[in-house]
Amino acid sequence: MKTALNKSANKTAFANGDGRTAETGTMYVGLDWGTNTSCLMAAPQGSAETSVALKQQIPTVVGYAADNMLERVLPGDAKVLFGQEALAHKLYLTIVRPLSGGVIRDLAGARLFAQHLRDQLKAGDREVRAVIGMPASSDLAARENARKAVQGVFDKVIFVPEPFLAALGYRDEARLNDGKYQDPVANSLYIDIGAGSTDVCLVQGHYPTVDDQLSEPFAGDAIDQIILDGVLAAYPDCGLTASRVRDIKEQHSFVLAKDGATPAIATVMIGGKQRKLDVTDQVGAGCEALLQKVFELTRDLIARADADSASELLQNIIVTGGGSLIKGFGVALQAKLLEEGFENPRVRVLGENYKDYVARGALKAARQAKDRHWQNLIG
Amino acid sequence: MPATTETSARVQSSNPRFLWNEIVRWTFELCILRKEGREGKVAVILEERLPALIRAWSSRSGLPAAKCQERLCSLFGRVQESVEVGFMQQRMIVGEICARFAQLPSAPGLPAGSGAFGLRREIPIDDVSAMLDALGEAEFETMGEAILPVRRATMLPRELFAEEPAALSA
Repeated sequence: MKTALNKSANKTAFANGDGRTAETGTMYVGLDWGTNTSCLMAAPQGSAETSVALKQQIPTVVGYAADNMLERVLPGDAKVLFGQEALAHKLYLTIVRPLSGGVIRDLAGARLFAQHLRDQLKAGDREVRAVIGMPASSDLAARENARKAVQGVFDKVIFVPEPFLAALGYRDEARLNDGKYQDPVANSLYIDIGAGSTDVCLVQGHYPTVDDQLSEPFAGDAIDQIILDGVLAAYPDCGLTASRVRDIKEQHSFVLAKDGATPAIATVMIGGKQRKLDVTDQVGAGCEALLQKVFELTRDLIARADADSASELLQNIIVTGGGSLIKGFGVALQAKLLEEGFENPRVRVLGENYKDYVARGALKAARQAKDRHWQNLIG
Repeated sequence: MPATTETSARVQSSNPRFLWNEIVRWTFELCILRKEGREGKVAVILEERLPALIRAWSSRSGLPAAKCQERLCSLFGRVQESVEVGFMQQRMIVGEICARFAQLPSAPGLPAGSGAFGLRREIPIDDVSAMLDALGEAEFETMGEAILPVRRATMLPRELFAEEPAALSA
């Protein structure tokens, strides 16, 4: 059953990768529903394995307009805006981030955001099946909440731990016969630094079992809090907010030695006047705390791996998630492992495109899922 | 087996009504196992149980082949739908119980973050289908474990459903 929202959705035909259109048949969606940014990939059933008809990264943000909003201030006099559009008009909106720590905290906001994602597909009344990445540490209640959020939006769903999807998405099957290609799932250690948790898992030709992964509720949000506390302690009257701290972190985060780092200068408004604050120490402290936590998890998980596989494993440490964008993180982690006595470790950072891998893996999983795997949702 | 029991079993197994009930029972079993991701057991039923039962029932039912096929298709459809609805209800009930217990300060030991997401056995990376089966299986087992503290509690705290219109009065 479709919701009223769905019924009024745009019925424009969905464009295939090759420019053709298809108005019937099932649409597959791969979704990395992130705390800060979501990545959506979609393709019609039966399309070529590697083709992606739609790919979008959207800030996971819902903005509600006030009831007494003046006309023509917001595009189309919208009552609710999403993603980049909401951020661009944040002055006039109450901004809500429906996810926190990788799981849904605001169900109403999450439902609206999910509907916005579906609208991007322009799928009309077609059946839409979505594989959605969830943090490996998410519990039953978090998964049930996610189900409630997409009821009536997607027709069928499957939830899969994000590290599985990252591994699946990062693997390039077309190059498996290339002798120079190092299969990233043959013997690797994945570190996924999200907003709410850091998940570290061994991928050694098989999907990690519960014994192959470690998870700590210490990640991006925890760094934000350390930075905020530190800045407020140094500049009590600066009026810094959590969302501004996130911006500062995204611009200035680093884990290299302080003398090698560019100073982190944050511009804040105090009493209507612009003021520049040096927050290098505070940003550094937050990032260093995360580095230490990741190092400990990595060290503990390497110790669990079979001794014969350890030397190859050390060559394939892959950092993904928002935390992987911290400048110098890979190099610093590698240095710490070396210092600890691990022989010749090599840490790779997936970088800006990390979100694509989870969504791409989700789309791959959707294409290969059988009917019995899909969970029906009550519309 | 005593002779009378053996005879009774043989008579029973040639009775179309008995055979049909067996088909219904094993079809339910099959659909439930499939939803739980236990494909190994599904294969056993598909290969060893159902074909023989279906052959026996078809030959004894006195119905034309097309009619037999129609009845079987209809049965499979109904059972699948029924099991699907049952699983949705199960998920919702477990979710509701977990949510309510999480809100209670005196909840009898429902661990925070119960039901973490993961596999309990090794699945090759290439086998996405088996990975999804195993996740389904783990989810099912996790649901059972998540409500264990509720089962273990000697009695449900009265305040748990106190605000429900149908709550029992003291």
